[in-house]
Amino acid sequence: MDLISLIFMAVIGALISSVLALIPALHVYNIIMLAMLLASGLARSLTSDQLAMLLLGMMIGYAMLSVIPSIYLAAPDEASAFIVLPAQKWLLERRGFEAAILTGIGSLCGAGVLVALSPFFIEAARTLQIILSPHLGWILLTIIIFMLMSEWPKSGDRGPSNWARFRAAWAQLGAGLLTFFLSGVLGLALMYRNIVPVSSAFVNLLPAFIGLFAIPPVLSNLIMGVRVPPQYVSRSIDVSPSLLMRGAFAGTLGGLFAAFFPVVTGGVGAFLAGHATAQRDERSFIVSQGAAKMVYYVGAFLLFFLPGLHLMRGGLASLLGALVTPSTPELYYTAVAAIGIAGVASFVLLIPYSWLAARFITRIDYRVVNIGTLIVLVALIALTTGPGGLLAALPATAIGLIPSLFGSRRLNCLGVILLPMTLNMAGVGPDIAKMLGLI
Amino acid sequence: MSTCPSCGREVGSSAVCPHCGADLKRRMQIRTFGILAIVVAVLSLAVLIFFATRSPVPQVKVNQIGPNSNYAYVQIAGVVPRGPNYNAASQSLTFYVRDDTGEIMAVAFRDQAQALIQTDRVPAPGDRISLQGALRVRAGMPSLTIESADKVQLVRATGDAPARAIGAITLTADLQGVTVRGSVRAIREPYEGLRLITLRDATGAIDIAIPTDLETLVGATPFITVGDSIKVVGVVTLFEHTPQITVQHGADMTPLQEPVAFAKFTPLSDVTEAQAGQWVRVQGEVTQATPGDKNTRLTLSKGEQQLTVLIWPDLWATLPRADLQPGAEIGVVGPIDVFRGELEIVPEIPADVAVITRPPTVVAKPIGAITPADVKSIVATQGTIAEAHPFSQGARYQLSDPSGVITLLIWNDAIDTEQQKTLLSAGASISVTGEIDEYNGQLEIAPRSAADIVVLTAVATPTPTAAPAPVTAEPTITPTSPIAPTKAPAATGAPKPTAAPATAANVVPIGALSKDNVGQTFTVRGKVVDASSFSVGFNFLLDDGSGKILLTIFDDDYQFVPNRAGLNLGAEAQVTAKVAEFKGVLELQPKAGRDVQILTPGSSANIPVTAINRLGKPGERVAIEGTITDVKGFSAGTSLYVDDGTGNLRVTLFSNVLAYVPNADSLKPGVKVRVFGKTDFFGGLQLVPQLGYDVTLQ
Repeated sequence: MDLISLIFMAVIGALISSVLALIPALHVYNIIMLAMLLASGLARSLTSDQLAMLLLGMMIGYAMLSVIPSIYLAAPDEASAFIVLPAQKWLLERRGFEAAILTGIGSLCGAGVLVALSPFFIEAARTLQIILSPHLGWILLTIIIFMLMSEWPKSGDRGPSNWARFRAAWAQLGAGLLTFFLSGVLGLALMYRNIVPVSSAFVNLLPAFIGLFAIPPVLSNLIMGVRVPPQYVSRSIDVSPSLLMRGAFAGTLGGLFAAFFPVVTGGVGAFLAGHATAQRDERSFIVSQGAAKMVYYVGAFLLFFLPGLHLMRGGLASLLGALVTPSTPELYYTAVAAIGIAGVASFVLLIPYSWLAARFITRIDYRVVNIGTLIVLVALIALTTGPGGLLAALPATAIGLIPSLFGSRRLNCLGVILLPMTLNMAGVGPDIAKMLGLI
Repeated sequence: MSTCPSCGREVGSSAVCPHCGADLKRRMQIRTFGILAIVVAVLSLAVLIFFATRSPVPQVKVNQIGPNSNYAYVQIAGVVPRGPNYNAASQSLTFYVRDDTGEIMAVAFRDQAQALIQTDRVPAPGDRISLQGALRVRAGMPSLTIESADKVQLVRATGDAPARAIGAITLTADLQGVTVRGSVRAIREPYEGLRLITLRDATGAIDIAIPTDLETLVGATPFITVGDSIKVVGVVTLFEHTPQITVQHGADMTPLQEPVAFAKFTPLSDVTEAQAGQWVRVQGEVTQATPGDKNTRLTLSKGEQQLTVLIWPDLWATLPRADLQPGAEIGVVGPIDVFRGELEIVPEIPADVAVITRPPTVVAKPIGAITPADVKSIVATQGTIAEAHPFSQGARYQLSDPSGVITLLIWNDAIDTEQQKTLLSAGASISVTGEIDEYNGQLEIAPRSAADIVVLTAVATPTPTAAPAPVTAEPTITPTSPIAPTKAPAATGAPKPTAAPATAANVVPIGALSKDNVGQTFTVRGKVVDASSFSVGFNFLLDDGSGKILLTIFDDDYQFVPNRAGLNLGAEAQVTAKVAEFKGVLELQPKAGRDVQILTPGSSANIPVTAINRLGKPGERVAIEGTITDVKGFSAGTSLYVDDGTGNLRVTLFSNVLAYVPNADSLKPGVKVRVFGKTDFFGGLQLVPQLGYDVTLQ
């Protein structure tokens, strides 16, 4: 009975999330943070296991259904940033419904892989942790270097002079480097100083994440005034089993990498997996992004349930870890079961939701949606972190706009956590913070 | 022909796009907005850092820290309640800070830990501390990570430590700095990483705790030995409600040139019952030595005054017994005790008994070889007793051997009449040691006590009183060789004066036990070096230096072991038990719990704590401290889930162990516990306490 009630909580979480995930740019972490801040009674009215399962369900629902605003309203989170380019292309080609379902299939594959691999995670995670712990610093540094070096100039091959071409090429590369550097400095300031009140310090990065990832696309949409053509709801999906397998494999690989490595997010994991598997086909790419998103968000949280390891990967584990510690094998396998059941339930919801979105997208006033989203985001920052949070969100938004305006990667905004954490792992974080006068 | 930059269609030379209406003359480049975004980003970031660096770091109390405070950078002020832990592998320094609302763990890693060490700012018990760092809250348990060693400010408890008499140090002095001087009475290491020095002055004794595992950080203490006088600057800490002084730096302990007098010289005539418990130094002549299984008693005399020197077997074994014989002049230091109305002085360590003048040499001679030249010398001889001639103050016996005859003079105040009847039957063959005297031209030998007479062969016919048991081995008297004293107890570990002495009879070295002894009962002593539990009892590994043997105590007996809480690592125990063999391994199985006597209690309480995230492999003996996050029962016991901020670990308490956990009913979520046990892997890493007393609520 206890097992059933826990899985029921996960399904409830998925249902809640299925509604919240439709709000553009509203990340599930933000909702959970707000809920935990405003309603500490939530933790008291539920047992720790029930709370963990509810949040797991919300995470599964979000990982599956947030694809709808990501594709139809172009408001991706950082893990979805890669989907948007090909998916937006499909949207403009009236294939938004197909793109959403294909991403959902990828997510479903990701959930299936998590369930299938779950018996091996306990020992594998322990062993990997022991092996990798001493090397995390240089691995992260390598990832950062790869990220920065793999920026390539999209212009500059034509120009009136060598200097003009050089300047055009480096304007974009420089914007990428500057984005990473500025977001890293912002991260240091937020980690070493209390910009937000002590009582809400657990969400100290929320203003930065909203500013870096959520507000800039909303502003871009407001400025650009995108118009979406009528969508076609197809009866079949343009993907072969081999493409599906290839996409699911690549996505799972990237998702697992991101889920296990601290600081590395789904976006970075997908970015690395994309390079590692050299995907060229858009269909397998979209599948892989769906799988990566599910494996990253849900897999990272599943690691939290591993008995005895105390692995906290991803924002949700970090948030919940302050309150509870799941510690029994029984709860771990209950979580695995919940992933399967809530994953399927979310996918079942995705089809009608996407159908409705495809039907009504042309009737939605983009400007109204984006203004509403902007108001929600600013209100969320103000409610959770007060004036300090708004002060932090301002530079974050400006930094987040740089990639849009210079055509560089938005992924560079992840410098907000990558740079401070890498510096800390290298043992020089406090020294740099001291140089900046932060400590 | 040109195209509209907004809609991309041809516009010709129009100033306004005829298709979309875009202004074609006054337009702004997107890059301009990009540069504007960079300017805004840099400026607003500068403003943010400006305000951030100038806003004060909020000072919080420990009880204000909750899950929502996770990642906050705060300042905390308080007192360091106990010693730090340093993990060399991870280069992490861990300590606790206590304010008036609670306690929090603080951690410094790598450079910050090294900076604290190099600048001699390793927090120590009693230090007042103010520090800044980032809060980490795991499962409701907060910790603080020090980001900069510069932000750790200490006021040493020992900075201005007042001189205190040891006896004046009480529980109320907890975490206060003190300076004491005293004489080293004992040095021991209950486990690797802790050295305890017992220091005594005229007012009392106290243990000096030296965390030797921190010597690399705070310097080593000078080499000292028992009997040295030293000065110690340290902080009073409590060990199970007993004050001790913890030394923070090696340099805080200094040897003294002038010895610390902790026992006042007192003439025997001045020793009274009123001095019971006081330490005195006395001097006198040994007039009687009575070795025994339970203790040895020396009668110390000065004129008419007498005082009994009570020596426990462990100490007796280490003393020069041949010198502690009648006639010797000795000095004794110890506390005065009154036992059944008799005054005693009880020395603790060998240095408490000093031989000032050795006793006269005992020379063994046949009776016929004793001449008037031997008068006033001590002679040992043997012969057969003829009839007695009692007189008012004693009796004279004729003692003869084939070489001659001598008078055996027994004074009633040396051997009472009842003993005389027991020992001295006509026809009995005895060995006697005594002073030679001459009376009315007759040589006499006068034993000083009953101990000077050993019955070699009792008379065959029964006597009205019980005859002493015959001694099987007949000693051979070798002329001019000194006579060894009678029965000597075996040597074992350190004495414990306050506890009732354990029986030392038949104590055998563990190394002497073999499979040939299976089924036989022996008494052994040793230190507990390991403890483990099994389904119906407990095993303790005893080590006496000569070897190790397993002591197996079944549940039915364990519950009757006196003071069984002390039967733990480091304990000195004496066990009378049957030797048994189990799976080819010798072990001792006591018949009852009371056959296990704890001479010096042991404990796992001082074993350093290991962070849970440092636990890797099964089979390690480790101690953890943390908060219980969950309690679940299973068929054979109960599982606790303990979180210390670095990880969460299952603690498996089997039923027979749980039965002995003090206050086991209080093991509930939210309660802080300390657990010592063995790591194991069963569906995940777990810690399995072997003894109930290894689980303590904090």
